[in-house]
Amino acid sequence: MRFISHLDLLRAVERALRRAGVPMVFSKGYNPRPKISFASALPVGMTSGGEYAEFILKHSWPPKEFQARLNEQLPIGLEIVAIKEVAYNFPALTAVVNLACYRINFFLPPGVKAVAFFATWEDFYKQEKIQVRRQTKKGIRVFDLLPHVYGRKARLGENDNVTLNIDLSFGPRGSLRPAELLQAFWDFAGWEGRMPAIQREGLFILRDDGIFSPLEVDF
Amino acid sequence: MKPELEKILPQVSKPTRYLGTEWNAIKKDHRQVDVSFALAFPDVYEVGMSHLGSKILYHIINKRQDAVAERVFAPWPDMEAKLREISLPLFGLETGTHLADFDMIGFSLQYELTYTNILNMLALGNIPLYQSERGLGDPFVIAGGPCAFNAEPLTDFLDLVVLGEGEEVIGELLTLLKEWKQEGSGNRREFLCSAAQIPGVYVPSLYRIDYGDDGIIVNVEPVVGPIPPKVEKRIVADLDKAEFPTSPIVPYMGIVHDRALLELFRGCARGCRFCQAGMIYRPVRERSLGRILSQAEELLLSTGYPELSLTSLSSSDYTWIKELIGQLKEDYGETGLRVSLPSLRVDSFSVNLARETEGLRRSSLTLAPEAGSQRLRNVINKNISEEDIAEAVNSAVASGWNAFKLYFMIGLPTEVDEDIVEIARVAEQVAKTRAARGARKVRRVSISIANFVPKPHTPFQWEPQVGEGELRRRQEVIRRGVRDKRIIINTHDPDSSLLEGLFSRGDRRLGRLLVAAWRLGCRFDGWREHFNKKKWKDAFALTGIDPAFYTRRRRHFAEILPWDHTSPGVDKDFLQREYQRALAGKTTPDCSFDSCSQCGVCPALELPICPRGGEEDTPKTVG
Repeated sequence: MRFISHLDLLRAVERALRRAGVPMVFSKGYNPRPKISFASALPVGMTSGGEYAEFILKHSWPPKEFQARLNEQLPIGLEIVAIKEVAYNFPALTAVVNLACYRINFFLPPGVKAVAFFATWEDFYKQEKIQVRRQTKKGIRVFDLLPHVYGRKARLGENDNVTLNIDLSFGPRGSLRPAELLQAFWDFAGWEGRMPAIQREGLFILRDDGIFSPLEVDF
Repeated sequence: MKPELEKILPQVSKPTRYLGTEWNAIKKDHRQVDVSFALAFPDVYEVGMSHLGSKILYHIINKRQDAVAERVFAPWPDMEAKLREISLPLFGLETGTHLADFDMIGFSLQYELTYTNILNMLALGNIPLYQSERGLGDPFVIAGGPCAFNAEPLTDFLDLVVLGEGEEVIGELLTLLKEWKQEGSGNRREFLCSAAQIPGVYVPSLYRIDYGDDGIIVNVEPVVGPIPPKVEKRIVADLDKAEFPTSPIVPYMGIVHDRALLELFRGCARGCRFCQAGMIYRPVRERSLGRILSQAEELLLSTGYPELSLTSLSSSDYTWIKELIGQLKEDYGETGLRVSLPSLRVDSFSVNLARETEGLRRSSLTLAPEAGSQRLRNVINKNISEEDIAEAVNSAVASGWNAFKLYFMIGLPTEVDEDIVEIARVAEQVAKTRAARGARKVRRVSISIANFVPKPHTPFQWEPQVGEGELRRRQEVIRRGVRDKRIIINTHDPDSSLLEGLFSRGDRRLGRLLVAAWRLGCRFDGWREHFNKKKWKDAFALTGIDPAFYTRRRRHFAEILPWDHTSPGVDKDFLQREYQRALAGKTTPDCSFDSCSQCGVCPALELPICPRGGEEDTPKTVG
């Protein structure tokens, strides 16, 4: 499901909930809306391997039934793949996810051999510091991207297709965008790199004892 | 999705316009059906997806086992550029089938300033522009909708035109098309001659038009055998029996009317003399309360929309409107359903309905006095008084509304500056309204000033249109007359109104002009950011066409008008009588509540007079 904005996605889910007859809690005010919150808005153009959302219901409903009823009403490309019932005081997802995993696919830049590519990819991280300039509302922010990279795998597929799997910090306490990492890499290598298709594989909770999906942890 | 499409979509604005995978979209294998139909809307997705008529046809065609309908909209200019860049022909959204591979393409004619988009869509679909150049394997290009009541400027490009409501005709046409295909003669003329036998179907190429030296039409006649000299429109007599789409497509993106649509009734007999819809959609036919409630239930269940719109030309006129709103509140109040009522009358009854439906969600209240002075409202037969306006506004303010939208027109027949300054006065009056109790005040009054465009099949069809410069001067008169800072004035562009007027009352000779303008790059002429006056001027110069002949000339009653051979059932005599009453300042009452005004539509459609069931009216012979 590419090309739909976060707002479109919210609308599609809201309408599916209505069709499924889920007893949602509505917000107060002029335009009551069902209480749903996503852990994060997916940037337009990025595909997703999994998003997390909380739904607040009027009363307890068997999770399996919620999942089945809603899946019948969701458009192709949207599906509830896992579900968990939590207490009302469960912390907001936006506050707890802090790691995002991305998969990026592209072809080797013209004239670049695979060996050279992988060597450069490794050299890139041997730098002491990699500065990123980010335009924010408050002006330009410059920071080092290295502490934000938690995982980076690169492998070669058929026809010189490269797949990167990168795990980056995410959320209100600091985040790095995959496009920022990639741009810094192209600049370092001096190659004319393109911005390829990016899939966000998932959002996770990184703790001292490991990496967990939001469905795996209790608070 | 096609890989070519997947590649360009990230580079265009609002890519969900082109996905075709929305909820309730119907995808069929073209090899499994006998006939394929492209429902073409010559405007952008958000506009086309809001159109009820297209939803109805989509539903009817796809309900047939032997047919498929897909949607196609005018691609936004950025998408058009990409399509051209990679040479991808325009396609049906559901399966990506190229436009040229459909058996029939049907354009919805809602607005004259979409006509260049029609040419552009045909070109992008690799379909020969001129109907005379189409041959074996090319689709038939057809059209319907309100502008079909004068489709003459488009006749070079259209194989046939459907007049009136399409629910029944579309099926008859598809069956005929299927038989013609199975026969395998490939003779297009043969198909068109048979189609012309279907009531409501107009085949322009079967008529010859002769013009006099002065450019005025002297004769219109069929060129072959048993073709009707005048084509009458079709209607659905019993709306309860008409097909209605209760599982319409639910778009991902926000569209113009992003809500479930229910249709309360068709037609409007209020008889406003400027209003083409009021003439061509006659007579009034209501849907029963029970049917509407069951459709509401199905619609909400299949779409999940949180809002329901009760549509018609004048929704407060629906006989069971109070009962309907009460029942909807009772049945769906708990689900947070919002009910909206477009097109309200100007009176306190309607304001009360709006209060019932909108509850606390007060935005602004829209009223349409149309003209500022009582004299001019009588001329146009907009039968409301200044007291009605005051009463409506008073009760709205008392109910908590503090913002109003008022719709007016300028350039109406007989209009003088005294009428126009009255617009400013009425707006100031509304702004000054205070609730009797408490200190509630009006915060904002926005007045929308449209330019009157005379339309075919209305009492003002013979009138000259007021010119661009004079319209600008009249807009200025209003601006000077408004002192209150709470009043916001919105005006329309006079140049585009004149262009609308040109195509509205144009004839077949304008086909060349459309081609010239389109070649120069005119598209989306109804969109302020795309309307290009300079290019249109160049197109007039290139073709030698003088728009004033069509827009600025007073036509004689005896003149053969370009649209006289296509009829919505309303008599030309009635229109002339209404025109004369207009000049005399005489009003004509609504036949739903008063005596028959003898417009001729009921006898023309072989219906009993006053199908709404007004007891005081006994059938009369009209004519």
